[in-house]
Amino acid sequence: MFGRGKRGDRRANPGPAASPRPDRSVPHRLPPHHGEPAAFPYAPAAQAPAPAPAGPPAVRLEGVVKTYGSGAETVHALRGVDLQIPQGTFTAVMGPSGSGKSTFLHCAAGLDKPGSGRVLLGDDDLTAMNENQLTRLRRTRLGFVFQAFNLLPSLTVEKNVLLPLRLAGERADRRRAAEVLAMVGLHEHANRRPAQLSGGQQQRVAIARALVTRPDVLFADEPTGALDTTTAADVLGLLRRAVDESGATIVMVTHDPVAASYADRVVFLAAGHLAGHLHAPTPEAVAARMVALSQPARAQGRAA
Amino acid sequence: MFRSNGLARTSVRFRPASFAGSFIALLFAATLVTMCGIFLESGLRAHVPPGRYADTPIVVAGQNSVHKTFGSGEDKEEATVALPERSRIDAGLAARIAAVPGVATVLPDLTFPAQTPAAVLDAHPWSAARLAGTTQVGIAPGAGEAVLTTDAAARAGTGIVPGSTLRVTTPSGETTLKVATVVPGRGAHLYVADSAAAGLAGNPGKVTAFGVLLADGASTGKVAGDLRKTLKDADVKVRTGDGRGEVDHPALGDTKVMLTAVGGSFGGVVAMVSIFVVAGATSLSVAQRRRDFALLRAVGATPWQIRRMIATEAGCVALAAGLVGVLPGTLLARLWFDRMVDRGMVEHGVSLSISPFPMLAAVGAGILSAVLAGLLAARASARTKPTEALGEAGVERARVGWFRLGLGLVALAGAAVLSGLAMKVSGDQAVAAASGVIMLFMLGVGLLGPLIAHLFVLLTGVVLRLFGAPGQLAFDNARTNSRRLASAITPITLTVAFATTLMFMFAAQDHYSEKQSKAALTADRVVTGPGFPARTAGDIAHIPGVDAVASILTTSVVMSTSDALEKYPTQAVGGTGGDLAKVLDLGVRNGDLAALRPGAAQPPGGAVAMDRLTADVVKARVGKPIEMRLGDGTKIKPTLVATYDRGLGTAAVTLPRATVEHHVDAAMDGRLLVRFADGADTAAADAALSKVAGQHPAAKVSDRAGYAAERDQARETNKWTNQVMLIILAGFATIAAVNTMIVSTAARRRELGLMRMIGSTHAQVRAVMRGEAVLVGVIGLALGLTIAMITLVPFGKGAFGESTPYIPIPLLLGISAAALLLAPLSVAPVTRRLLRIEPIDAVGAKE
Repeated sequence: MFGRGKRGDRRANPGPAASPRPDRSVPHRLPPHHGEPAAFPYAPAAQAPAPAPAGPPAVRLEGVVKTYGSGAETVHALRGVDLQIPQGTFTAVMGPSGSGKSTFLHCAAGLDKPGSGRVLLGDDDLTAMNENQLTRLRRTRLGFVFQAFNLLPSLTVEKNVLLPLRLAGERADRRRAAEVLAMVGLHEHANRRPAQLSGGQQQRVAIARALVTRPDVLFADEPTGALDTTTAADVLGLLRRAVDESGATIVMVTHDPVAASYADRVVFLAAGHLAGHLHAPTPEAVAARMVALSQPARAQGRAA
Repeated sequence: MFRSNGLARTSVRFRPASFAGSFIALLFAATLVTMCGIFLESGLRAHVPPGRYADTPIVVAGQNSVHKTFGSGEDKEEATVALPERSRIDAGLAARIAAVPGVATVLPDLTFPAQTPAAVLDAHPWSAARLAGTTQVGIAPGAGEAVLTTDAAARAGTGIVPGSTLRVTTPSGETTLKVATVVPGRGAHLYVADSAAAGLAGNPGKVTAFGVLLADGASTGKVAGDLRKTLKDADVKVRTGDGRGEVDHPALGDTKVMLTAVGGSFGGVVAMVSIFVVAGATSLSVAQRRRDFALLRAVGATPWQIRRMIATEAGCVALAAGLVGVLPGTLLARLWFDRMVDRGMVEHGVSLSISPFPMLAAVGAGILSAVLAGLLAARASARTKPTEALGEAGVERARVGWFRLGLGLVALAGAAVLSGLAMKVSGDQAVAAASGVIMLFMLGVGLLGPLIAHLFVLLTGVVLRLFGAPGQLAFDNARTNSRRLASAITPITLTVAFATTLMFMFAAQDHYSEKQSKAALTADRVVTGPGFPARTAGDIAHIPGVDAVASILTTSVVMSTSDALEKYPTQAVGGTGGDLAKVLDLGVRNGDLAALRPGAAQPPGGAVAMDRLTADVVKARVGKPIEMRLGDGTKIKPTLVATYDRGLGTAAVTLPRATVEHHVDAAMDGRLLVRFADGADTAAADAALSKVAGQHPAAKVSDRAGYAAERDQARETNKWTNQVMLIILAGFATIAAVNTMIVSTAARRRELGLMRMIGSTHAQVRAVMRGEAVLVGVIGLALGLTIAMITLVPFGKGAFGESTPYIPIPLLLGISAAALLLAPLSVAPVTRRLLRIEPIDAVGAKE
């Protein structure tokens, strides 16, 4: 019911690889019955306005290593990852199962602590922070969208969106909630409960919630993993527009080449190592790279 | 940090059903705590109106309790026990009282029982009628005459009018009085001439109390103060106001102790059980919303915020439950109190005092324990890393935290040590230790529940696996969800442990006392009645064919154990010569009962014999003197001449009648044990016996069986009280268990839907659920019985000297059946309801 024919639209385009940034903001429009969505009222504090892929890095990972377990059962999830995420960009993280992409996201977002190495958000070293500092950071400077269970069933849509502000002890700014809800096209559903929304609508509420604090970075963990393709396109379009129109920085873990193709850049992970980049990705190029990565011997060769 | 963010309120209001479990638990806790609080307050405040002394400003009477200080320094503790009998004071004090300025008249009062053929009346000297405000002009009874109040006349039988004669039995014997007149007045009283009263009462030179009437203009307070100073050395109490009522109601002290004990100690147990139940319900509700908390953590809630949210939720629920629970608590207190009054456990005139304090305490305690339970339950959820929580949100954590593990092990170790200790002590100490043991065990089981559940599942699973696929699935479910299982097992264990321990204890008491009293009684006939004066035994002894008669007067003595003052049921034996063992074989273990025989030579200070377990508790040795107080508080130091085995079926202490007869309210024998001579004409003897018994109201002649039926009143009362407590507790714990089963089953809608989607039939699903529930029942029963047995061993040793607990098979089967059926029966309806939902909807259900 959402994004009718959206996939077709996207396929019909000459392809992201052929026509990079400029036309990005056009095709990903919201379903017609939502009317013309409001412009992204997104302006990260003290940051350059919009599409400036080459800005100072929003997140920097330096030699991040993460292992689980011990002895013979040790799992090396990340074996030393160095990466910079520039401000105002949309980065997709891909890799075969067990490549460490979820661990990468958790470490980069301060949800988990790396064994060694540093993670910097702007100039702040996340690895040097304690749990309380990280928590405060999460609710003010980071946003999250998970695959599912993003919303508290007991709260209305509006209250879910305002949750990070509420947890920070700030006054519930209902105008801000209305703004972000309008942005995701759900301003009419402010007083509904999550159970009354479809899966795609729930994910859009989650995006509104993630954006309400104007975070430095928005992390998305398989945000379309539980959605059908048309609904997924809506959600991805929303993320794309947040970057293009408001200069948000997004890091998204996904296993879907089509989802990855919405990003400016795809970062590949394999066996805990960085295994290359792809700028201005097309679904076909991403898929091809993924097939290559799934064959360990060749992946090893390319990983350098 | 402390600003409210309203999350807690929202979640309670959004889905009240998920808090229903906690609400019900807290509601019952509040109800029971209110009830106990009311009893406690009533016990502390109990008083009786001054009654007969209403028109007497000051009453001087003896002490009605004894005190003793145990320990020293920090551990100093004052023990007080109400005297079982009315104490008397020296009649000679009258002159000293009269000499105090402001005293107009001193009226000596005597109270003694006067049995008429129809009823037992309180008898007093005529001058004491003035104390009650009865007009006295011109109607004083002469010698051989009596004045009755209208109430007394009505009770003494129909046709009691001035001029009729009344046969009266008093402690000193039988007499016939002419009714001089009937006067209006409060209560059933019989007045005799002042000159005759002392003789009939049987305690020359002693009075029950002095009524003091004041001169015009004298102040009650000042005169009372002066009297206290003057009589400082006389060991008396000068009473005014409501305190006067206690003189006429000597059992008020017992009522106070009983009410305070029910309120205090039962309140303690209730509070403890409530904490378990509330903690269980809270942790269940928290565990079911793990995913919400994980999300909150990820979007920026600090661990403290999560904790505060859970604690606030619990507090809100507790407040609501507390407010609702107060009313049923009050009603329950009233109901129970009325039943106590019906059973004569409460002194006449005492009423329930209901004030806001117990209610406030109940609501406050509920909130406090709920908040604490919430904080405890939130520990794990709050500390979890958000990623960890999101990842494993669907699966339970079986791991028990280190803190909890440590605490649980300490509790179990404590229980084991205490139980070992209890094996070495005896008597009441062992009984007290037993309740400590059970509490510690419960604490341990509550804390280590998931671990114990897991272990038991592994052990019992072998059997479950024999039942095909559903059995296998039930076993796998139980093994992975040991925390859910534990929350259902704990209340069942609690109920089984409490019920088994208490019911087996009383069953054992009945069993052993019946066994002992049967073994002890060697008499051919038992004459029972409200009281026989001393000479009745003599009369019976003169019946041809009667070989020996022993009279038994029942009273209590007060002795001190190592840390408390205790009352012990006592039999004072009299009768005619011969060997006591001819009619009553106490099973002498050590020493000789000869010195207790009437007229026998006694050691200095008198002689006493005791049940051997009692002797152990009060540290009495054969041949050594032991200090005790008789019923009226008189201190004596008789020598222990013998210890015996059959105290439970007879009495803990045996004294000669002569020692106690002037220290009890009514020196009258309750039972006369008669032995016929060999070859005597029993028919003729029986006829003669009946004739003697017939002279007394409600007297009855029976054979041996009649003796066993005469149970110790105090123990019966105690048993009844404990059974009521047990029913309430078991009901509470059962509700908790059912509640837990229902709540945790209802949350499995998605799982059941999935099972059906992949091809399980309804019957298979039900079999899986039933299998798990049976497992819960079996584990709960096994744990509960184990705890009960460990507790019963030291108790049995202390109370009966038997180290193998007595196990009444029918009771055991009943408890087992109830425990095994409880879980499957409470799960079945929920499962049926879940099965009515279309599988696809159930699977799609939002958690």
